Amino acid sequence: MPQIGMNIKKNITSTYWAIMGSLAVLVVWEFAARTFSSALILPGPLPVARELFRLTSGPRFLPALSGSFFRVLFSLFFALPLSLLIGIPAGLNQRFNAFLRPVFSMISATPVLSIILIALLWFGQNQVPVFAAFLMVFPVMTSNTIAGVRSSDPGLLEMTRVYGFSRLDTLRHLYLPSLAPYLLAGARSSLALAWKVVVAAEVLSQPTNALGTGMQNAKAQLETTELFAWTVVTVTFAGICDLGLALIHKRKKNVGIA
Amino acid sequence: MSVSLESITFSYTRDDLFRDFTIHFDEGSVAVLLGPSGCGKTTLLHFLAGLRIPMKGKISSPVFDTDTVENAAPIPGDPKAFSRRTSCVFQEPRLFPWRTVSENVRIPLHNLYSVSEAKDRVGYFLALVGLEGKGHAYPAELSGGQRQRASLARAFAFPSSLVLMDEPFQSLDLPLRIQLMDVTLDLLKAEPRTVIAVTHDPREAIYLGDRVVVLGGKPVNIVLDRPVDLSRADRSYSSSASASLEALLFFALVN
Repeated sequence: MPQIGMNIKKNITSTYWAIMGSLAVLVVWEFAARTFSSALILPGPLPVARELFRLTSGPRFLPALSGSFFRVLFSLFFALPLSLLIGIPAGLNQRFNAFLRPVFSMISATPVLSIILIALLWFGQNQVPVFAAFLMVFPVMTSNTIAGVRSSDPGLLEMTRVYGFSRLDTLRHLYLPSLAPYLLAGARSSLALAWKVVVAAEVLSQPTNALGTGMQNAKAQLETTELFAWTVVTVTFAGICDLGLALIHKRKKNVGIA
Repeated sequence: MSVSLESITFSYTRDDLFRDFTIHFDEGSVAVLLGPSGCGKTTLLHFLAGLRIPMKGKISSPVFDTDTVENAAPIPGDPKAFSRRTSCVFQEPRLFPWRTVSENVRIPLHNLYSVSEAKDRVGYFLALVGLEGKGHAYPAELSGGQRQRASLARAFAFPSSLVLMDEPFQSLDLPLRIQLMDVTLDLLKAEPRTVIAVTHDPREAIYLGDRVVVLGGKPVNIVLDRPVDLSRADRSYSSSASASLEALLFFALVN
């Protein structure tokens, strides 16, 4: 019991300091905005908040947000099964792993913008962000899958062999549960990455409903305040998505699964 | 089925661990292997479980029946046949941490029994090892002794003809060790199996075994091979009736 009490106290303290940190950012921002005193270079927090309110109650906001959100989701939905399909054999087989390594090093060394520009030549406006995010996220998910497979207990593996488990049973009862926490951690970092890449690709590919399109338009019209407002929206929703996954992660841990 | 190794040769390094080694185990009896660490006891269990294949020789065990090593392959035919199966109690419980106790006992059975049969069987064996009411607990919620009870229940619920035990009570204190050996004897009374157990402890060997075999040397050979014909009462830790056999085992182990 004292342990739990301590934890709650610890949580309250760290929440307190997190709030203080956020306030500090706002104060520095306000101070810098006053120093520049130009809405074109750096609008202050209050004008941005006002613009944010105008933006979110406008007709372009919800379609843009859901457009970007679905692009993020699509990229993850393609990446997840494919990374299992590639990552599990690669985790089990050293040769296959070595065979794949150059491909993944190449993908992760390629600048995001090159991928986006090349994708612009191949795909339509709506698909470019999905493809670029998929390509960035896929190596992350796959390497987490490989690490998860490798983390499985060799003692348990020996047990499954003595008790005559089929390959499918071993996959289901040993490998998949062993890699689940790795996959969840991979999904968290992938989600954050996918938001950044999707919005960057939208800025260049200009799909009709997209946060990135809103940013690009605001920038083109020198509406710096609006650009800031779109950025705040992106950061907020990426944060909410991360929080959602973090809660799932925490719950699984409490049940003793992860 | 009776189990045997004939003229086995095997090595991990350049020195042979086994050279022309032969041993035979009778059906339905408990043989306990004693010997210093690294003498090849666990490797011998691996041969019988089919986890490792010797370089030369012939094995008759539930999973292997080889004339020569060249055709050392699992016995063809129905993999579900009773005589094909081996179960094992390891030094650690080796339970799936993400599954409850009853799921851990049931999972190896799922191809062999109908759902309701498997459920009954799991319940029966959990009761025999004294874990009734713990079926829904996760392994992390059990004590070390309880986890090893679950591992014993899994080994006996699995319909195998051979049960291998690799120092299963090693990490438990003396009272728990005696409790678990009693559980093992109860299980054997309910479901007789051929058991081959490995231990470091001569007292444990006398308490559990119908026969004790001391292994030693490199390449390994049989130093001592004795039947244990003592009554249950004479085998108990507080009895001195087993003292002469114990002394014999100690002498064989140390020399």
